[in-house]
Amino acid sequence: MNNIDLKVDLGPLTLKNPVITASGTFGYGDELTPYLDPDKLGAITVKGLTVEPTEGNLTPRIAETTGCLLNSIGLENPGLEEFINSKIEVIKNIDTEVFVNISGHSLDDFCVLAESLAPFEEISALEVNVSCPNIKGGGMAFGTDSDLVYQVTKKVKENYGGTIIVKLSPNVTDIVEMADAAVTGGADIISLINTLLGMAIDTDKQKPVLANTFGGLSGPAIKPVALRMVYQVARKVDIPIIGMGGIMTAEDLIEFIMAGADAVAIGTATLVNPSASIDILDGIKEYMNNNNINDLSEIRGNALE
Amino acid sequence: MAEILSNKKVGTDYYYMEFKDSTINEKWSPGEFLHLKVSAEKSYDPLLRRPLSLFDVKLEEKIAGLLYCVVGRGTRILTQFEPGYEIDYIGPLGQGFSLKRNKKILIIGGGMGIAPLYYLTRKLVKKNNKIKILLGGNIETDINFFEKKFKNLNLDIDISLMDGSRGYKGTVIDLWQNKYKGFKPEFIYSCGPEIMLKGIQKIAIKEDIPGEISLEERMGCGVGICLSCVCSTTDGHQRVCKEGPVFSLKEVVFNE
Repeated sequence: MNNIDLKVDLGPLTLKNPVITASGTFGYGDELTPYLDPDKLGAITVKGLTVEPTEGNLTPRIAETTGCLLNSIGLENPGLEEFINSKIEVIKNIDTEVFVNISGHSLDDFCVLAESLAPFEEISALEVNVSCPNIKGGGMAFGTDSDLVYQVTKKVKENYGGTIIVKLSPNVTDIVEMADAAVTGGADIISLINTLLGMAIDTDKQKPVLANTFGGLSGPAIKPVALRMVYQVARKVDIPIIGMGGIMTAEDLIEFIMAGADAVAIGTATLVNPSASIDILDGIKEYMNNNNINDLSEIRGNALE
Repeated sequence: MAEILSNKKVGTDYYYMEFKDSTINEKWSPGEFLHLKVSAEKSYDPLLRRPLSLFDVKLEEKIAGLLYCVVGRGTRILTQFEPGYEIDYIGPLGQGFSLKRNKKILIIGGGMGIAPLYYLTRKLVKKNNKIKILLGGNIETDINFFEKKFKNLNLDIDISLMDGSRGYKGTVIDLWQNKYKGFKPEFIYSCGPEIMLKGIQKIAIKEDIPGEISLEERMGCGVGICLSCVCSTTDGHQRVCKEGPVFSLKEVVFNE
């Protein structure tokens, strides 16, 4: 048995291992305790938070496509005030890093969220979701405009003061341009990718399956896109990267590490198997033992040219 | 280990699967469901699990039965599962029915909705309840299997079919409100198409009869995380997989 060290350096943060659970797939950290111990994970990312309580979209909110899941939950969450009143307590009891994902419909929203969450030491970092629409500015997603990515990042960093992770949208022509904007804006860490925009049509009813028409695509079939984007960003930026998109197994995680990611997030896999993140963590240990790797830094970015 | 004992077609697109599992215990309750993997081992296609409600549980024999309707790719794959195959499931999940005692009860179900009501009835029978069962469907093969199972319980049962080939011609609500006009239960348990549940809720509110219904919604994780399966209630959104699938009859807010 090797002396395996799973610790991961994520800039201002150190994680005990590279396995993080993605926002929207793990609740607030305590719901899945019948299936696994969240304290064993590198970090958990809580469900996306908005300033006001958000009811979310009408159902159907999900559709299954080959090797994929389409979702349009609509960021249903209790809102900032309720989060502070009841969820911070839950986070306090979690013995690993906790990232809070924030979503805003305007720059102001992002500022309010960042400022309001700044005092809480229980929170290890904010993850900034730039995939939401800039409603006050015409409705295009922040993440599709590099100047907006820069501005949101800068505002959140200024108002939060602590570690910020910027989660990029893949629905762009040039992911590296967006990553650069986040870095210039002051991001400590980049995470990617969020979901791809997609849809499904019910041929019996002759209309879209999702009540909201379009939804976010996730799951094993998007892995090649996610991997490509992580690879492109890793070639260019120097800050730590959390890679995500279709990771189901330890081998998938290794691909992302070799593409230059420092850590990964597991999302859809948890919806298929509640204990997926722990299974993957165990799988990594086995992989490292079988391949005589003591530290993932030995293979990090090895596939980069 | 959950080994399939049988998996047979029992009605219009309905299949009944029985499996043996040593972990089955007295906590397996009516109204709860199992979240089944339908993809082959190490395959991700279909990606998501499928929720199937418990049809029956035989505690001593450690056998459980699931009744499912073939509605899409996942359930079609399920029909190919053979005896001897090990199924991968999570659960039982969800909040089941509360078991009333000493009451005059109406069990009223439509089509596939009848599935969770059988195990419920078997439990209610042991609690000194006076039970009337009304089952409805479109055509005979929608309800034959259920009718036979319920008849074995020696209870007061009647059926309705939209095509009128047997029993009362019309909906199961017509059956109740016309043929059994004066029958006013102290508690209603129901499951079936939304239009039926809406009709029953209307009557229950008008006549001030309490009850419980089991809802259905597309599910993702099945364990309360993804928020795919929410329904509207008088208390805001609730998750069909976690706060449900059983809800109190009056709290559910149906779409217009």
